Parts: sequence; C-alpha cells; structure tokens
Amino acid sequence: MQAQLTALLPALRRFAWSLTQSVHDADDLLQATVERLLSKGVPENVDLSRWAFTVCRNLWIDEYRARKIRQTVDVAPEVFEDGQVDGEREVHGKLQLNKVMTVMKDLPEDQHAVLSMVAIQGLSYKDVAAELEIPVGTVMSRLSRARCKLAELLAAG
Amino acid sequence: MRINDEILSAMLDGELDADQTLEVNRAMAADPKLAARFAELAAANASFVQSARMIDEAPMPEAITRLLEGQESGDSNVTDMQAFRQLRKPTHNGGNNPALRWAALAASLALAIGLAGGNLLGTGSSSHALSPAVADALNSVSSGEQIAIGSDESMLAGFSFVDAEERFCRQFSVNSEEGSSNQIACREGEDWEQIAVIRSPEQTTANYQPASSNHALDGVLDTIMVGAPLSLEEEARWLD
Repeated sequence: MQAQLTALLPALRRFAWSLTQSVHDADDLLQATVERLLSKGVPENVDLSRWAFTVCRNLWIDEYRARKIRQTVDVAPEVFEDGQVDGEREVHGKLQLNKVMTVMKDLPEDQHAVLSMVAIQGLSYKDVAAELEIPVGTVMSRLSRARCKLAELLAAG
Repeated sequence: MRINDEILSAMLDGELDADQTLEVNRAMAADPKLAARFAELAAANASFVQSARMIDEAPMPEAITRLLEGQESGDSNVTDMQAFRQLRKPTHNGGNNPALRWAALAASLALAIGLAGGNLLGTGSSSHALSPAVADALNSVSSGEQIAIGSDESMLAGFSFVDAEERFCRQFSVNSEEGSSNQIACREGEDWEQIAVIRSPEQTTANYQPASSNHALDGVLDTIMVGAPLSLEEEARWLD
C-alpha cells in the first residue's frame, strides 16, 4: 500500500489544497490522511485511490473545516517561496491564486466539496451523488453555482 | 432542453449525452453569447484546477515522505509519480530542454491515455503540422467561438494559456464527418506547433468533446501550462 500511496500523493495533495486553500493546512491534512490510511488500512474490495480521497475529505469535514485555521487568503507566497517561480509567472500566478482562493474561502462547503470532487478528484456526477448521498441534479446545481461564482470574480478582473 | 449554466457546466464535465452535447454545440454556434459564457465557465474551472496544481511547486514535507519511505513494495503496476514529477518539474531552464519536455509529455500522455481510453494521434512532433486554415483560425478566433474550416470541418476554441516557454497556446476541438479531435497547439513565431491530439474512440458529430478527451489532455496541460488560462482580454492581445 505504501507504494500506491506514494504514487497517489501529488494528486491527493492537490485535492487537500483545493479543500483547504492553504499550503500548510493542505500538508497537515495530507499527513493526517496518510497516517489514517496506514493505521486503519483500506476496507476490503475498496479501491485505495477512491478511499484515500474519501478519508481526506472526511478529515477535512470533521476536523479542519471546524477549526477554520489559517483562513486568510495570504498564503500564495508559500507556494512560491525559494525562488521557484520567475517574476512574471509569479505575479500572474499569485493574482489568479488569490482570486480563486477569495472565492473558495466564501463558498458554501457543499459547493466547495462537489467542485473539488469533480474538478480535482475527477469523479463523475453519479459517483459524487452516490458518495454524498444526494441526487445528481443537486450535484449539477452545486457545481454550476460554484463555477459561476468563480467566473464572476475572474471576469471582474 | 433549456441551456443554462448548469447545462454548460455539465457539458464541461462530459456529463451530457451525445444528443444533448450536439444540441448545446448547435446552440453555441448560433449564439455567441452562449459560447462566450461556456468559455467563461471553462476558464473558471481551469483556473481552479490550475490553482490546485500550484501546490506542486512547494516541496513535499519530509514528515509525509518519511511516513512512506523505506517500505516500497516494488509493485510494478504502480505509476512512479515521483519520477514523473521530476520530469515535469523544470519550467525554467529545463523547460527549454526539448528532450526533457517531450519526455515529460510522453509520460503525461501515457497516463492520460490510460485514463481516457482514447486514441492518441500525435504527441507534438513537428511532423504533425496544423492545416493553414486551422492555424489561421487559432490566430484570430476568441475562446468560445466556433468557426467553419473549409467545407466539412469546424473548429471550436476552448481556452488559451501561456506555456513555460512563454508561447501562446490554445486548447481547441476540430470536428468533421469523420469524427472529432481535441487538441493543444502552441505558436512558435508565425507557425503553430501541434502539441497533442486526442481522438475519442466514439465518433460524434458534436463539436466539443468534453468527456474522456478533456481528461486525457489534462496530463499534457499539467506539464506545459503556466498559471491560469488567459482571460478573453488577455487572449485578445495575442490574437491578430
């Protein structure tokens, strides 16, 4: 399982980032997810990848969202520290990142989770509906509202 | 079917069936405002996805890798994502290394095709030249717009971005009676270099192919895309 988890880490980390919008919180969440998976294992006949994302999301819901830690949007510099990005790219990246984070910070949790599950985890509407136990129409609606808010802010420049 | 933001969003995710997709494509062809709205939602979604990819820039915490290191099982079925990340990581000097770039592309395409089950037609070799008509369209058509190319083909511009080599790049789909393809191309001087072409195994008359082919191109975009998609205003500065 360790090898499979190692392979999953980048994707899982992006998912954690999409939920927390903070590098530190995303890494804390990722670490908690890995620890939980290593200690509790994976249920029989359950795909590790799918299960890892579920554990990650549940941990976020149970612990991180409630704690509301580091809710400022000023975390973009963390991503670009150590001079890893050149000037123009850094400015453009930070701008976009802060815009996205501004929207995500205020997005209702139900819309936020659905957007992450579809756009980052890559689940189908049917799978999201099954996992969250909601109708597919609700998935569509939440997703659309989340994207509209993002589009609105990005269009506002 | 009433075409609203929910339908356009579902179109983006490939959640509409073939008939619905065709209906939306026709509606977008007839209504530039609808096409522009679709482009806005696509760009917003791509910005969100790209924002999550930015965390790749930050080093993985040692505490996490220590949890997993030293216990690798050697499972041959597992993709070596760490090695993959090392390939795609350089976006400065390394980004100018064609071999490294194409190795990364090949790696990402291999992953992408595995996910998508589509047919790869090209991976950016210079032998895959774009037709002059498509190149002209890429120089002039705004994202969200659809344009006829010759008598039996049309092109729908998806979104634009700048790659690590500061080239203007575009994601678009080309449709003809023989089928549709989802493509990425970047402009080199006056010419367009085809980066990737993925054809869905299911032929469709729909112009926009959101389902498997879009996911398949994600790996390529992950490798070459820098920052977020361009806004329509930013894009206009690159167009003729």
